[in-house]
Amino acid sequence: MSSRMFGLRLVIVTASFLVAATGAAWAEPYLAVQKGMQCSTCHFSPAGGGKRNVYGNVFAQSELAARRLGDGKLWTGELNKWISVGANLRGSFVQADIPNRSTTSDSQIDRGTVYLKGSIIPNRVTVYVDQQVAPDDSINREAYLRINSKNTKWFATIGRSYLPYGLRLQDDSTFVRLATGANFANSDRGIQAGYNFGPWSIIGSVTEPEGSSSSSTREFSVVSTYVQAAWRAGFSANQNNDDAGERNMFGLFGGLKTGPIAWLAEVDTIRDEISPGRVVRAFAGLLEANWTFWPHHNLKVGYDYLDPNDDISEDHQVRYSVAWEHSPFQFFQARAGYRLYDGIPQVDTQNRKVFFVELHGFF
Amino acid sequence: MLMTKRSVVLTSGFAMVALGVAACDGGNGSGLPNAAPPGSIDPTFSAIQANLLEPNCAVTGCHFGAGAPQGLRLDAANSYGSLVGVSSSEVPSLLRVAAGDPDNSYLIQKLEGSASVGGQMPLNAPPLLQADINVIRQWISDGASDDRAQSADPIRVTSLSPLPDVVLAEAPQDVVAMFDRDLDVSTVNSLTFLLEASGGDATFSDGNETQIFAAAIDVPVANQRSARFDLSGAALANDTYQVRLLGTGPSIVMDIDANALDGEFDGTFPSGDGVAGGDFVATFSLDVPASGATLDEIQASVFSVSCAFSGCHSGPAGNSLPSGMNLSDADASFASLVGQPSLQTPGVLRVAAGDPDNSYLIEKLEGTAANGARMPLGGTPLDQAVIDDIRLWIQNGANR
Repeated sequence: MSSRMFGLRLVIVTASFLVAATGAAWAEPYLAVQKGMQCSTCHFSPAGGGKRNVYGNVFAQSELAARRLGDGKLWTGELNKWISVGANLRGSFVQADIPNRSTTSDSQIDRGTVYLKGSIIPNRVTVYVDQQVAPDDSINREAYLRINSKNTKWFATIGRSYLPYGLRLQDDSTFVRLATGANFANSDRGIQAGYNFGPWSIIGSVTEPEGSSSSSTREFSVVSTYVQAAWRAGFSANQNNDDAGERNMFGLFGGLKTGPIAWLAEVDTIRDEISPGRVVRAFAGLLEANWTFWPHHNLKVGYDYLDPNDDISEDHQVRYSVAWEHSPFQFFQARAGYRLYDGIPQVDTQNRKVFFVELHGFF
Repeated sequence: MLMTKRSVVLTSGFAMVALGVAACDGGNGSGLPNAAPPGSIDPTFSAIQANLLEPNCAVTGCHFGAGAPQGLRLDAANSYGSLVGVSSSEVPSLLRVAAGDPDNSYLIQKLEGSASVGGQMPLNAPPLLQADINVIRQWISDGASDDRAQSADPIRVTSLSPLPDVVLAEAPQDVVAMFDRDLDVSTVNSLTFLLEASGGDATFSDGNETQIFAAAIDVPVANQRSARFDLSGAALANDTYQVRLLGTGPSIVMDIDANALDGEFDGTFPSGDGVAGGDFVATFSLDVPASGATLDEIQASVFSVSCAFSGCHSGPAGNSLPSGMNLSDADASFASLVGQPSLQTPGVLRVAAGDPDNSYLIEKLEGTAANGARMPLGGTPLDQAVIDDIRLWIQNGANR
């Protein structure tokens, strides 16, 4: 056996052992809460999301899925010592019932992404690319060079990356992700740095907002999380001072495990000064319960709140969600659910009802 | 899946908190502009901005404020300048709005979902109706002009209904302010358009004022130079009311070019002193004549409870007091009072229809009668407001 193969098998065995011993996280924060671990346990990105690392891939095959099909060999994403890959493909069927419109239904590819990680100097210097390849033309979502300290406590990146802010939820349509703009639809160029010290982690970034009216505009973001086995808490802050206005955001978030239920919560305040003397303050909140009512089956119940302008007393919107999630075999997830939106009567789409089925393949 | 006792308690507690939180539902939209029916919007930029871009795109977290994706701000102050003739940052070879060419306008491609990059807009929300997108297409085909009067001057109030200082005999259905330019509809709301009652003293600085809440505050689609404070359902008492439109402070009325209100008002329209800022303040009064109580109501609230006791004015009718002036029911009271001469002062009618000052009943109740004691005998005099109700009944003809 070559030393490279031995090393790879050692990684797999170690990861398998860790998964068996502790469980692990899926691509959603509630799993991290259930397992009491950082998002980076399963994802290459320190804040979560994107490419899964060896641990995340092994978990997806050995713990997450109800059964493992195939010959039993584990996929780690590592093609060799230097190159590893991954991908996601999400498709959905959505039926929407909007007041004053006929009911519509649509099947579509929501997003296809591929990930490439090149370890120039393994564990120290890495190039990472997250590229959306479907639908339509290719879009770069993340691309950066990352440097880790020898003890892996420090890291720094330069390039394009998502903003470190709040819970990195898969669902970009939650009000906390929509209102803050810190979601998978937005990434900016700049530098990012982070530090882990015990249960604490902190990540900060200085970026140039995409399409900013001034090349000198800088956006500052920070997120810090304290993680314990049964709970976590954190805060986020963001400041974006553009020629055309200023935005300041602050958020608190947390998670709690009570038996088989993992709770997630986030609240954000957003202050936009869009012209001299005109300030709009918004408030967004999320409360979500994830109940593993049966092995490999999750029932997700969520409540979203958005007050887009606290100067106006009756403009707020809420969203009630319920969804069932299941992974019948490795690298595949199905989700079906219902979302009820309740907003102002003047905007029909704020009062829609949505039934959806989503299929998610990944590796 | 078994839960420990501690987990059960924690879960139950959080579930109850969650249910409490989730009891908050959506807003009722009061104070916000009404929506135009689909496809009914004029193919003008101001109408498109107010009805489509403002509610669907220029919202927190989207094309609004410093964090707007692709730097594209679609609020009223920035929208036109960010769209027309400006290259898309996603597909730089295309203009966001190419005047005269909707098919090659990136805005249309993004709204119709045919753009080669990124998702259909509005992102993570249902698409606009094709009828509404066609309005935008029509506007672009027509040249994508800006129908708004571009100005750097502050916006002014040109009239107010009800008129300043007017005394109304009937409660208004709404308060409408007219301006000399189209409004930024998002700036007209319950924080910038205020109505207060004086608390009965016609002054507005002594702390007894009462804020009047509107059923809605809106800028009608048909006339975006007007702001309406809807008083539907408001029970306005007789009082002096102060209308305020804010031009100073964190929340102010602005026009579509983001010019602040020039509000100072000295009784002559238009408002303003030529400098942006200053609140518009005007008053009007409400003095609605009381409609008057009926005899049945006076009977129930006065005669039956204060006069028609056994041994007093409880009958039988006749020429001896007090029983002879029988007030035991409305019919008996009518027969005993209206047009009947007083026994104590025969030259005066107990109730002279239309003439409360010369009605003996009023004299006895107010204690001005030449003979005998004030009524109710030995009891507490009636409140003057109650006596005034009787006066008004007499004034109105003392009808049965």
